[in-house]
Amino acid sequence: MVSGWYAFFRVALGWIGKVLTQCRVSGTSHIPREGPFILVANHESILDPLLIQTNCRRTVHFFAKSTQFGANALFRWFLPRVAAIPARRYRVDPQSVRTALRALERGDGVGIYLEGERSWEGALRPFRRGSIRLILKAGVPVVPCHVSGTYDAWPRWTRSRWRSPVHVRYGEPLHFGVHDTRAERESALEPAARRLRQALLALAVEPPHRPWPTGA
Amino acid sequence: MALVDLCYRCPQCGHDPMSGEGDVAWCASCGVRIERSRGRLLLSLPGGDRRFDVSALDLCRRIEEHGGPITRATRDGGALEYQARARVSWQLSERAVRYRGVLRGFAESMGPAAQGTITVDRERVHVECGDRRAGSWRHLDLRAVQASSSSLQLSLPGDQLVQLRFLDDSPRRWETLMRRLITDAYERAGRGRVVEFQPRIVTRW
Repeated sequence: MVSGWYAFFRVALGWIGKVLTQCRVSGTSHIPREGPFILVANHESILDPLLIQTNCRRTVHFFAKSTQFGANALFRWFLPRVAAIPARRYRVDPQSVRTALRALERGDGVGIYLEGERSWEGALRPFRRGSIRLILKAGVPVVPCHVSGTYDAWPRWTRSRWRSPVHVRYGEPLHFGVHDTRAERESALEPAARRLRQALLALAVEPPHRPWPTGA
Repeated sequence: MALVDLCYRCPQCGHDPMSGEGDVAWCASCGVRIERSRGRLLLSLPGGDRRFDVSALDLCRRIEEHGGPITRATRDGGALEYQARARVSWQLSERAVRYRGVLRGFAESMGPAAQGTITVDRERVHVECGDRRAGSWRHLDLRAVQASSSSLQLSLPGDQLVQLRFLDDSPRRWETLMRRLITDAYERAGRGRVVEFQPRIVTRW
């Protein structure tokens, strides 16, 4: 279900995304046409949710750190309208999981950054166990999505942006099945994490290896 | 937010700290200069005219090889102590986030920030800011550690949350330092290997 504000911002921010980056998108056919799904993505820049949500035809409720919901009045107004789910990072947050499961029950998509935060160095960080537990509990198709180039455009350690080429790649959905009990989820946690990491890395473009400069 | 937040010590010679401003960082010891230009990181070696493309991942690897944040924090004789100035704020409450009458979650409301300091040693973290909640906690008693682009949040016993916005130090340095000190404290106490720092510290045997 696409709400009016979400549809408006998808178009408006889509234009902003085009101004800020030279964005290419591939593999959108892997996004289910209907029914619930979870979209998992790497996270290198604040531009990532903008580029994913504006290039995905389905509504995606992304987890966002709760701190942003208190940052200022604009963010407090804006974030719920682009279907952001506040996730408290300083404590276990069952309410954010309930909100995500409700969105899936309605047939929407839920977006998860498995690393839980933007990468400092532009490489895939360890995954949050809670996110993988949610995937195993939900039992819906999981669409891997790799965004490359946003680290060059706007990494987390700078205020300055650069208009650089960005590629959003969606991969084939993964199916993990439903794991109803806690014990089932715990035993499936590590294999699921490995599979998700492989799926994201398979979509990534390996940067060329450059030896450390010696001045010679 | 600046390049020195990422590159807080010299990836070439290990000198700590790096100097810098905005998207440029330089080493006062060996003269290496790193700058972000057109989305790339370019490194100039001392005495050379050439600029080399380097990746942020390689910079971070080199920094780790030089000892990361530990060397600067280690005193003569092996004792560890490190301090930074920060704007310190404490959580006041949690606010419900609703949209169209439906609860979506909760967000923290932070109180006013006061100038203070954070100091760490091998066993404890000390926060001073003139607030009655300021104090000292064992690393083993911390509940979670999370860094944003400019600040560090510590979850403390008793559901307290403190946020430190560094005035002249790198949040990445502090995130790495806190994680390493907590990991060491858990291992010394025989409480397993820390595998996750947020939303709570989790260990595995």
